[in-house]
Formats: sequence, structure tokens, C-alpha cells
Amino acid sequence: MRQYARLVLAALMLVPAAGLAAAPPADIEAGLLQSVLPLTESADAVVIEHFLLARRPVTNREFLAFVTKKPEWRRGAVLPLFADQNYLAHWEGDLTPGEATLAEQPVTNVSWFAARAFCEADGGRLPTWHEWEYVAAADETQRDARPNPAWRQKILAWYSETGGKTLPEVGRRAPNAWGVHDLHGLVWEWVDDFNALLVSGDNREQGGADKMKFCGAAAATMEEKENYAVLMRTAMLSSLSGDATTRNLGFRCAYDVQEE
Amino acid sequence: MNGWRTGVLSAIAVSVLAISGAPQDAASSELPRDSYYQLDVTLEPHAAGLLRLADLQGSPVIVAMFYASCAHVCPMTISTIKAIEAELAAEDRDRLRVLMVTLDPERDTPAVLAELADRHRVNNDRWRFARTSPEDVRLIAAVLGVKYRELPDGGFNHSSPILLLDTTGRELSRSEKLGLPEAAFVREVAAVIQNQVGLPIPGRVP
Repeated sequence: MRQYARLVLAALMLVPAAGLAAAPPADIEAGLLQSVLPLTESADAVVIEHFLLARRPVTNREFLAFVTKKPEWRRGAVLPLFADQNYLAHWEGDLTPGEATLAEQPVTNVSWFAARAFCEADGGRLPTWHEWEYVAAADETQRDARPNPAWRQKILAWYSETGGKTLPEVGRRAPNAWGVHDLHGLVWEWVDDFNALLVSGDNREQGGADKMKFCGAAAATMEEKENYAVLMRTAMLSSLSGDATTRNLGFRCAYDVQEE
Repeated sequence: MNGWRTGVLSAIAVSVLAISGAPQDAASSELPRDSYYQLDVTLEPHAAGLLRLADLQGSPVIVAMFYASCAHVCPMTISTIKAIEAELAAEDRDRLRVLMVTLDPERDTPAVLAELADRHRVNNDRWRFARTSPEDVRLIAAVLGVKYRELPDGGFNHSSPILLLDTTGRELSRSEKLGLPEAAFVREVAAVIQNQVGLPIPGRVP
């Protein structure tokens, strides 16, 4: 087994670097975001600080390198607390993604805990929901394309595609105005504060019980209700627990900027 | 010996605090794989020394999250847990531990937490109000299934489950009800305490 792991390592090192070396993350300028999930009912804009965001979701190849270095995150070893039974279920074995899995496909079937550990090992972190939403508001030319109905329709069209197709490889679609690929149209993505998106059924259904369950102001109010695509994401993410994995949920990392 | 294993940590603890909760180390390998104590985080409680989650093994524990400046729900969480305690027989109550982890580690220093413990007149042998590093707050919340978000005014929206953990840190039950305690939850607390009596060193039972 150990010998096999060494073989895999060797194979990883033989992969030609050209074209596969991760491009440096995109530089995301500070700005204001009118979020679909404002922090208060007054719906003030959210301040987004300067940060870096990976241009592509993490791939099977990158995740294999991670679990090769970190045995505790292999499928056969991961604690049930940190990943459910479907963790990396599409891989053949702990260190063998298998022939049906493409190296440059986004890795999926990964839990929030595993995604967070990957980014931490990479010197980064998961983006916050607001950071993700800020960058995902861009189309190919504009940083905030959300008022554009054609763009919204294009995104919605992806959500209505049926599942079961082979996942495309990362970076195949044109980047957005920030130089970031695949925020829409490929996979759903974990955010660090997935458990901050208080829009799940369990608190909405309680009606008057909200105040019993939530400190401070009422639970998040959703603005811009026409922005269904992004709202679907928040609803989906907030329905998950940190150990959850699904076939179309992956992640990308963010990095803090070392200010001079 | 009041059941809180402290003092194990000395200088090491400072460096442990800097590392966020990576799973597993030699000390936790004997824990069940689904134990919440597998989360390697260090807590800074209102009384006594630093504490790792794994140090809680050996006693049944009630755990909840809160923040000190919270005006409504958090005091109710505390009073609900006190009401649960009040329904237990005295000798059972002595075996229970209560851990309250703050969502607001920047403001809730050990001094602030000690003041809160005084104000609520909790038993300092059994109760710990504690903070952890900001990164580990979200990790603990994810493990406990607590949802929260910080608001611009410094407050937090958060869900308020009260969880019951067995002596090895596995979740046995949770209650979302505040105010009068749920009778079924109180029965489970009493049962887990009574079932532990006479067992060999808790936490090492296979």
C-alpha cells in the first residue's frame, strides 16, 4: 500500500507542469456589495475587503495531492464527524481517482471540513459567502452584471440542466471580469460561513418562533428576489451540514492579501 | 478534582491555540470516531486553565453556544440549562458539566465571561464559559450544528440548540426549546448520568 502511494507521488511529479501549474489567484479589489443576503433589514451594502480568489475550483488532481500528503483526509480514514459516507465516493480508492475521473474535473463529494483543511494547507481559506457573491456578480465584461436579464437567464439555464452528465473540466469557459472561471455553470461551491446563511426551512417555518431561536435581529431577509440563481445557492448551502458531500458540490480557496 | 481536567496544558497550549482545529492527534486516538472531541480545539474558560475539548471526556456534558452581550435568547439558554440542572437529583447534578462556547471571542474575554458566570450565579465547579480562536468558532459551530452570523452592530443571529454529549463526546440528544426544559431531554440527561455510575474510567470504554 505504501509502495503504491509512492508510485502515485511519482506519477504526480511526472505530470508536465506546463498548463497545469495553478495560475496565481485573481486579485479582487475592495468594494461594496448589495447582497441578496443583507446583514440587516436596512439592507446596507456589505463592505468587501481586498482579497485573492482562486481562478478555478479545486480539481481531482489537486485534491489527490492533498490527501496524499494528509492521510487523515483519505476516504478510508476520514472521521465521520468531518465527512459523510459519500466522501470522494466517485474515486476508485483512497489514492486512486480511477479512469472514470478526470484529473482536471472539479473535485466534488467533499465536505466543508475537508475543503477548509485543503485551503488551510494551501495557506488560504474558504471564501466567505459575500466574497463569493461579490465575484460571482460579474459577467465577462462587467463586475456587477446582475441587473442584466440576459445574464441572469444564462445562469438559470445551467441550474435547470439535468444532472447525470460528465462534469466538464475546470477553466473551459471564459473567465469573468475578475479573471475568475466557473463560478456559475460547473459546480456548487462551499463557502466558509455556509452555516451563517440563516434562510433554511427550519427557521422560516417557525414563523413567530423566530425570535425564540435567533438572537438579535430577525433572520436574514432575502433581497433581490428576482435573483433566483444566487438564492438557490444560499438555500442549498444553508440546508447542508459541515460533513455533507454531494456529487456537484466542490470548492475553491481564497487568500488574504498581505498588506504592505 | 472537580472533573475539569486542566493544567495538562502549559506552554504548549499557546501554540495549540494558534493552530486551528485540525483533527486527530495521539491523545484523541482513543476517542470514538464520531466523538465531537475529535475536534482538536483549545478553549479559554472563565475559570481555571486552558482546556481542550478532549479534556471534557469522563463526564456527561451539556454544551451550547452564546455571546455575553446578547440580550434575549442567550440568557434564556443559560436559564434553560439551569432549569434542566434543577430537575436532576443532587448527586446526578454533581456529575454533569456545562460548556458554553461564545460566538464572540474578541469581546468575550475570560474576565467578561467570569463576570457573566457571577451574574448568572452558576456553579463554577460544573460550568465553564469559554472562548476559542475566531477560526475555531465556526469549526465548533459546524460540528454542533449551530448557525450564526455576525451583524454590523456587533450582535449575532444564531440558532440556539442545547446539546447533550455522553462521556466520550458523542451527541446523544439536542433540544431547541428554550424556557421550560423538555421533559424528554431532562430524562435523557438523567439517564446518561446514572448509566455512567460504576463504569470504569469513562471515555476508555471500547
